[in-house]
Amino acid sequence: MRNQEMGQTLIEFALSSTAVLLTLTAAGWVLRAHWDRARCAYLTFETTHAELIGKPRVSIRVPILIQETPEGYEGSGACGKASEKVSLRKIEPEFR
Amino acid sequence: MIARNQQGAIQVPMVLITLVLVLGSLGVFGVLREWRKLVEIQLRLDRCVSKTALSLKTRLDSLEKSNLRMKVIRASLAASTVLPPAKPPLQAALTAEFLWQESQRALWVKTQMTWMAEQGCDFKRDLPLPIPTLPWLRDPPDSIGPQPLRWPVGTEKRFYLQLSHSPRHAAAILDEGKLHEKNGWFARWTYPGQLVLRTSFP
Repeated sequence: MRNQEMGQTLIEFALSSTAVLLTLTAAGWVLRAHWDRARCAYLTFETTHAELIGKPRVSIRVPILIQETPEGYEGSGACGKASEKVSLRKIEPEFR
Repeated sequence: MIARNQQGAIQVPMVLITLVLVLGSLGVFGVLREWRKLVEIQLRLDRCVSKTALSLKTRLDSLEKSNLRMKVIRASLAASTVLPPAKPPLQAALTAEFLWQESQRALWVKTQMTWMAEQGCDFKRDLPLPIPTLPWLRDPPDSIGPQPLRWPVGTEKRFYLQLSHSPRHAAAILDEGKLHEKNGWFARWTYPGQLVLRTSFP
């Protein structure tokens, strides 16, 4: 292999690797953000729903704040940069 | 050119990493879709149980009020002070209450059948527990007229409603009680298995 060919190959490799790595990083970042948001929504819903029906809560790592209102229960969860609010209604107001 | 050079072999792990990431992403999206499905099922079950519980509660409340009116009419008819011209309208009112109550009892049976036939509310292959039968009894008519409904002694005034779609459930309890100085039937959420734990009216 001549030096000139070798140099071109290395440049091509460096450029394509950078492109692939950037794409993968961006995809990973988007995926992570999406995962956080969906996980937050799901866990907040499950925890708020458990509170609504009077079921004992399962301990999870995500901090979720539940508040009882006359109409139902409101849950707020924060998972990383994502946050979620869920509001579930009682069958009858002022009554679980 | 890459395939022909030795340095190009480094691209193979890169392709493998990409492949793993793509497959991983598909897996993650599968999990997210499953979560979404579970939440949708739960909300649908909740809506159906809530709607049915409120409808049954309204019917139970109406029957209780009608029963009360019936007792008042019967007491008026039984009173010796009632003037003879006032008796026919009172008897007509008593018969009307009786007929209305019977129609409500028939509608309850219809709701029971619809609940089972529609598998809850909308034919979505949900699994409903049968709506309990109304335990009210009616004694044979006496000299005054039809008797009011009577709740059997020792029977708990409580109805349990449940709809499932594995692995999710929605359940409600209808209790008779007093809340904020208001007597009547009240519907509240519960979950399968809780019924035996919470026997007192909150």
